[in-house]
Amino acid sequence: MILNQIIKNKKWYGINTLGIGLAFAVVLIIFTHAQKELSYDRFHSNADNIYRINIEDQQSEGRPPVSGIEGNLIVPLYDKFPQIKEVVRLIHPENTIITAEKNNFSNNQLFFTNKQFFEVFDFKLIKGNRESLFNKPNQVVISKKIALAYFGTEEALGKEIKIAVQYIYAKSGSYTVAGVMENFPDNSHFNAELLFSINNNEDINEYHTFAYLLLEKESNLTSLKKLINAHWKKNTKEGEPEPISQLMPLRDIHLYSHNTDEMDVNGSMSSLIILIVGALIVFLIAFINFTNLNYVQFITDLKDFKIHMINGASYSDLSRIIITRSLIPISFAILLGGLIAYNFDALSGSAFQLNISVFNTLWIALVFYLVFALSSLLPLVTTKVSKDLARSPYQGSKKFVASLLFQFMLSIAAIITTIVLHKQIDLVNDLHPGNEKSSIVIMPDVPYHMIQKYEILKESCLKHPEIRNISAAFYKPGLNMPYSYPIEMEGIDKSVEKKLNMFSIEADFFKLFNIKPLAGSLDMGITSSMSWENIAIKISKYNPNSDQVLEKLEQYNKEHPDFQENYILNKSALKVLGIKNPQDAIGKSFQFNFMAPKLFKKGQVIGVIDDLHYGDMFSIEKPMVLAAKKMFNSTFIAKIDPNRKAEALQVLTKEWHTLAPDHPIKYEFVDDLYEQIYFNQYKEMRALTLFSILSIILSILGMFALSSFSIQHKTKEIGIRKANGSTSLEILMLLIREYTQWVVVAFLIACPIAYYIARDWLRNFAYRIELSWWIFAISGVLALIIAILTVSWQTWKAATQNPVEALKYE
Amino acid sequence: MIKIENLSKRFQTEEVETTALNQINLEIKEGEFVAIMGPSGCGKSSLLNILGMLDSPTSGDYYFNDQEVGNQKESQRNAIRKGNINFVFQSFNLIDELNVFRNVELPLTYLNIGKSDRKARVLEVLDRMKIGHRKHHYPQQLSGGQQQRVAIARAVSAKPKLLLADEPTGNLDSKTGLEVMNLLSELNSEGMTIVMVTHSERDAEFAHRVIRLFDGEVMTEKTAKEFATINY
Ligand SMILES: Nc1ncnc2c1ncn2[C@@H]1O[C@H](COP(=O)(O)OP(=O)(O)O)[C@@H](O)[C@H]1O
Ligand SMILES: [Mg+2]
Repeated sequence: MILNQIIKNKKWYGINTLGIGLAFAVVLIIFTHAQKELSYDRFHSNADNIYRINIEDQQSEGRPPVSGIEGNLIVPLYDKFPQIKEVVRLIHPENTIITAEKNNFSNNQLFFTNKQFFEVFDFKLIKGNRESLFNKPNQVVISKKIALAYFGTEEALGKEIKIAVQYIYAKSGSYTVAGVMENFPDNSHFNAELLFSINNNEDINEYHTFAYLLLEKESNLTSLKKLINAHWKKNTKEGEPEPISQLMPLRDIHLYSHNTDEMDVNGSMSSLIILIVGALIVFLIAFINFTNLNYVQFITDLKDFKIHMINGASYSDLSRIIITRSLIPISFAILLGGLIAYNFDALSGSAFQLNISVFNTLWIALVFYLVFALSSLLPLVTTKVSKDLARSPYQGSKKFVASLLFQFMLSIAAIITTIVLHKQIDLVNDLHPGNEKSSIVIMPDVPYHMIQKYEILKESCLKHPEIRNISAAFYKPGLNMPYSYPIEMEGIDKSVEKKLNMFSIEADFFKLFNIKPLAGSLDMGITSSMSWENIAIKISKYNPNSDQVLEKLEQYNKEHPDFQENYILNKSALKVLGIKNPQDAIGKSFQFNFMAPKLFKKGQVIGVIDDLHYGDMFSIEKPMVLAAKKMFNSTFIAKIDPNRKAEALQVLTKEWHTLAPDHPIKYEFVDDLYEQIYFNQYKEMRALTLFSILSIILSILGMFALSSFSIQHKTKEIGIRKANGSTSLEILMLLIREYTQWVVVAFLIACPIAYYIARDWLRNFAYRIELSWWIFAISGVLALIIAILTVSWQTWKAATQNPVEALKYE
Repeated sequence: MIKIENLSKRFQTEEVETTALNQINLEIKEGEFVAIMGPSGCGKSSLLNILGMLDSPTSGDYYFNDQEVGNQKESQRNAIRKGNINFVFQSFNLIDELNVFRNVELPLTYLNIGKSDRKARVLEVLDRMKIGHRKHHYPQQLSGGQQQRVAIARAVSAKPKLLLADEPTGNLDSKTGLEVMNLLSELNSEGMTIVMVTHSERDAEFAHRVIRLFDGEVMTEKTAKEFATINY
């Protein structure tokens, strides 16, 4: 009997199962994801009283602050402020090599920290004594995962781990394993696998650190900030900017911190809101479809319900019948949705790394059962069943106008915003330099000894045809480092100090990224050699007037008479300098007053480029001067043959390993790098795309079912019209108009909504696409076409049939 | 059993108000077989709906077994109707997804009757209607006459006191119509009160009494006879 039911009403069952199933999957996925996002860092018992201290950046307009802080600003926090109970510092050295049991490892999840780390945070310790950790110098605490990787099944406690740190900060040396921690949970805003000890009094204060404060309960943040600022101000040298403190609650870091230089990729509240709203919309559309179809089905079945009633069924008996019947699609839907949700990571390339709990699944399923089963009673509650056995209360599509309008409004708004997001991401990708970004390989944070071997590496790599070009630059794409220094230029007023940002590149940089000059040339000519730069630094830093060193430099200059400093400016630099025509800058003598004054010789401007957009696009381009200094180029860049990527990477790895056997190569592709920068924006774009597609599919299904129902009821009308001489086309137009007029109204409502959402989202970026009218027009036309096709599919059959047939139908 | 006093029924639609029944008085005793006749649209079905408590009168009173039911709440009327009244329609009104057995069982399922009792009663009434061999068939697989026999079987399986039949032979040829009329009259002879709407004078012969409606009003025997000579 149930099978008969399903076969007879397959449209009803199919559409409802699909709709509710998708809604269930989306709600389950987004709920689980949101729950995780909102749970970040809350597992610490001190979570409410831990704050990270940063400096507000007053210099660069609108730029988010950097997450870390200068070490020397931390020192006073230890004892000068009674509200601060503990201070934890985390120093993250780049470029380290770890040696354990004679094996070399490279690990980016390592920090130097102080003893208080284990008091302030609750990360679980599996082995070792929490109280005595870091009581002795040179101890290290490692995660379970690292213990397994480094020491296998052997006891890790007491083992030695050596660390070699590339740059001066933090100590290289040998450390003893004093503890093994549980791997950090996913919902921690940072993940540490190795924690090396520093002592509070150790002289590492000039280094950039992350600093966490454990405050007394209910501390007054405003007054604390004032006190800290006042203290810092006292110690600020004349002429330097006063640092202004920012106290960010630990619990807010994951969702609200937009600081640059975060320890890990963060989430964002706005993404989360988009996801939640999207899930609600999908749910609403599925719900609307369900109630509409339910109503339609109810009318179709009304006769049967009346028969039940005449034979003694009460309203509660009918309710039972209706609810029982609705349980079938709901159950199938929950199965389908659960299947999608549990396999979502596999389907989406682990977009969320979900860990769906059975508990969530069950209670959300229960809510779905309740909501949909109860709402299936709506038509029964609003109709008098016993009356008019012969008459159908169907009154055309009027009853569904509001819901169709709503669905189409949402779909159109979703299409518009999706197009805007895609266009913006495209714009960003176009503006960033490089033609085929997926074939540009970045080797960031190259250790100094490898920087010295750059020329050798380049030469040996270029022997292989898979490597098209090799170059190097100051830092990796996506960063926006503020290194601004005063300049002097021929023809520019000296009385007002002009500052430009230094960006060092290697001569082939422009060719590799396919950058063309606006004026002049980009041929850097012969650039300074590594040894010349080393001498220049020495002179600048230690003993600028030492005759001996100066002599050496003179001598060197003589030996390389053709080395001349060349400078390239970007368009933003011209703006700062007040130069309108790029051509006017060419050939002008130029002096860059770097902190090491001898490192940059007086030279001339040889070229002007458009804004480079090497950094992220959340802020506007800095005025830049580009020069070639080998010692600064710690990011190597390779352009490889896009068709032979694997071979090219092998070549790179091999040549690198020959030169630096102890230092494993690290590389990333430029497109991936940029995608990480816009992680949240990409996530929002993908989520929105998915939601648009889902809402469109569901709306189409809903409209399809409604129109087929209304046409079924119109068959007679169509027959009469045809008998009276209407053509099939005329009838088709008539029926299409009935539905599509609402699409037009929906479009008019959707446009302003989508406009505001899109404009708001675009504010993320300093460079935005224009919200041109055609984006809106296309979306409207698209919705209209979808509506017409959906309705026509049904209508055409009805409109073209023989009128006699139609009249016989009733 | 049935007493109706000054009963009226008006339908309000968007454009017009229709008076389907106008100040009707009538009485029907237990065990009677009454035929209601009259031209199309005169209010016969409306009257039957009210008698069967599917609809309520706009004004006037309806006593069923001395209890006023016309102005009761719907749920109240449903409860009184249950097991006491059932219907037979011109268009059979069987449930397509249920087979013959389940269709006939329907009223019993709402009456707290045990499963084996139900089965026994359904089989008995199906036999009686000479349709027992078709109990596993679905309505679409039966002829019109068979369907109407199933419908009657369903209507009487719960042994109601009052059977309301709205043109029960309207969709049948005269031979099967006659069979159906024989069945009804047999049921009546066993004590079931029957009120039947019909257009057929032959069918009306089976009734003890004919009530003629015209334009929502009951005509006296005399005017009815006169009217009949004019009209038919
Ligand atoms: N639900 C309704 N809404 C409006 N008018 C109705 C309704 N039911 C019946 N009528 C009208 O009431 C009058 C009597 O109808 P009905 O009782 O069905 O007549 P009969 O069964 O004698 O042919 C008719 O004019 C009919 O159009
Ligand atoms: Mg009638």
